[in-house]
Amino acid sequence: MKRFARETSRWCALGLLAVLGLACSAGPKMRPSEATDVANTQPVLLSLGAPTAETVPASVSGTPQTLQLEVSRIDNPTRQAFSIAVSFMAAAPIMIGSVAPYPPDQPARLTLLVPPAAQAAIAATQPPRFRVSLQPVANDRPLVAPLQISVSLLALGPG
Amino acid sequence: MSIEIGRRAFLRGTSLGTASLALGSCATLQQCQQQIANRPTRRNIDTLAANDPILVAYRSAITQMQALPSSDPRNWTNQAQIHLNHCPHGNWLLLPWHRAYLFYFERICRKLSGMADFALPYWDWSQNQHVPSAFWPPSAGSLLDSNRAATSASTISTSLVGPGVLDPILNDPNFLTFASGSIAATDDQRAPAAAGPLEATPHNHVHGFVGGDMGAYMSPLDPIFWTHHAMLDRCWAEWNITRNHPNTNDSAWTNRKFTDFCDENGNPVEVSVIETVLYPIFSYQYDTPIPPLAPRGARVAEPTIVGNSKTQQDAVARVVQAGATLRIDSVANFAAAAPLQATLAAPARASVAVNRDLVQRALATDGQRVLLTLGGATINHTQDFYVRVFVNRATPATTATPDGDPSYMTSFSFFGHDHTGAGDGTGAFKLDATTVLRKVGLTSDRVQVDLVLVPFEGRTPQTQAFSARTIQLDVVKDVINQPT
Repeated sequence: MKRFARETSRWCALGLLAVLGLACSAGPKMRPSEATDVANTQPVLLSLGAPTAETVPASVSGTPQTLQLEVSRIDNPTRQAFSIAVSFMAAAPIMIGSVAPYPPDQPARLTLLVPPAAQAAIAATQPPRFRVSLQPVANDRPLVAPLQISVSLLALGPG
Repeated sequence: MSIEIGRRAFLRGTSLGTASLALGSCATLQQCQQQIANRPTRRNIDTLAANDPILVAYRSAITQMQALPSSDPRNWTNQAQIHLNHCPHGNWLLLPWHRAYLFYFERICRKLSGMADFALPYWDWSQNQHVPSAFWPPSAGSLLDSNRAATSASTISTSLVGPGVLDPILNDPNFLTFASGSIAATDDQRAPAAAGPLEATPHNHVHGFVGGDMGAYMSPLDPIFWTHHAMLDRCWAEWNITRNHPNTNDSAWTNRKFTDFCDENGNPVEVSVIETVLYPIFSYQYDTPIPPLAPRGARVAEPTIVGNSKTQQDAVARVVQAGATLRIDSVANFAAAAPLQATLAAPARASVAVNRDLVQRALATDGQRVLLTLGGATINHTQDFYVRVFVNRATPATTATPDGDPSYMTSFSFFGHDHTGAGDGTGAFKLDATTVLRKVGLTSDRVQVDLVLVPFEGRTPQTQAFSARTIQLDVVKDVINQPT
């Protein structure tokens, strides 16, 4: 979170100009003052034994147009390709999308666009819960152990 | 003398030093224009026969690069090590760095193969979810990489790379999400920010899908790499030039310089990001645009086709180089209370309760728009029908209501994405309702949306109904600061 706050601060450095009555002109930024911590979320661990978990974003603000994930640790000695699918947990789960790190043992921050169809439902849910799951990338290459990743949802907010 | 002045004036007119790279040795203004008009075309590899001159040249160039001594920077392994040691990922340098990398690699291929107009082919994984046949025996030759995890039978899901995934990415007007996150001018070029959807989803998945060398930072050892990144580059060109989304004008991005590459003679080169944005205008072109899945509502600007006159090229170059600072702010959202289903026999109407004053203010305000989003929509109707949309008609629209009716908003259709979309067999259509609402106005606190299905002539529809789980009106404010 601290790192994220640093980034958003940098992104919106021009926001300081608002004090002078000028608009922030630096792209669509997460405004720290609008972000709320909805939970002190710990990363969830996904493995072949437990390929699915539910979690909530650490930060929620504004229109939920993007969802940022962090894959903070990857135990993948064979460097097999895997995908992380993310769904919003509504009465009927809504698929948000899938991401993958590259290379497949490289921790990364990854961004998904939230489909417009899901935005209203997500905005109406506090806190919004998401399901993350490990999936293979190729039809003929099932995942094999050992494979364990730590993933957390960093931020849900405007683009 | 006049010849030289003409050429210099041309270069000055385009305000780019990089044009000289694209133009090479052309001597006159006319020759320069001719050279740009005939710039090499990057073609879909799936459209090329095994003996196509492009593939023959590509195989030949790779074979020769593999044979170069390790002291030569153009050596095949040395080229891959450029990527290993310098490639930025997870930040907004991903696209310009790889564009420059391909640009110089392409020049090396051109020189070694002897094909003066050689252009890298691209693998359109949004349309072909298998590694293209050109990379497999019997014709592969040097295009084969025996380390691949994928086989010729492997398939990557359209839910990871298909048009239903790509189209929303290409319609995202926000450079900072499209092109991955920002880093500071003082940051190392490999400093991590956040991978945007283009990088995190199709880019990364394809690397992993092919696997082997492609799954690691020595990925350029697999000739697939260059065609994969040509497709990524095509996406950026499509997004920036054809779909008119501006790059950022942040100097931390535009002024960044890369010194990691060598030219076709093995000499080191320096290239800045702002130069790379012009490559697809002056140095090469793509054979076809990427067709949108539906009429785009998120942007109202007309697509840009780069013409061949100096005036046209200058205009596009200026816009592309200028970039913009931008933001889309959500002002309000209004959703219908119930889902909607229309059939070929029975059009349907949704009623969305809105704050009339707020919507009217938005319609009267420059820079604000009202977007209609049909979410959770069925999409398996490619061969069956298209959908006409009417807004705020006094009486519900019927199959007989003409497109000339004032309440006619637009129509949308389906494009080969039966198994794409949100992954559950549905998709979303975001349409711009601003113009029609300005025309017909709001007479109450409700906006009426009529959907009329129109079957294609001469076909027997396999599906009869279109439905959307959510019908939403979004009032948004565009904040796009584009230099004039």
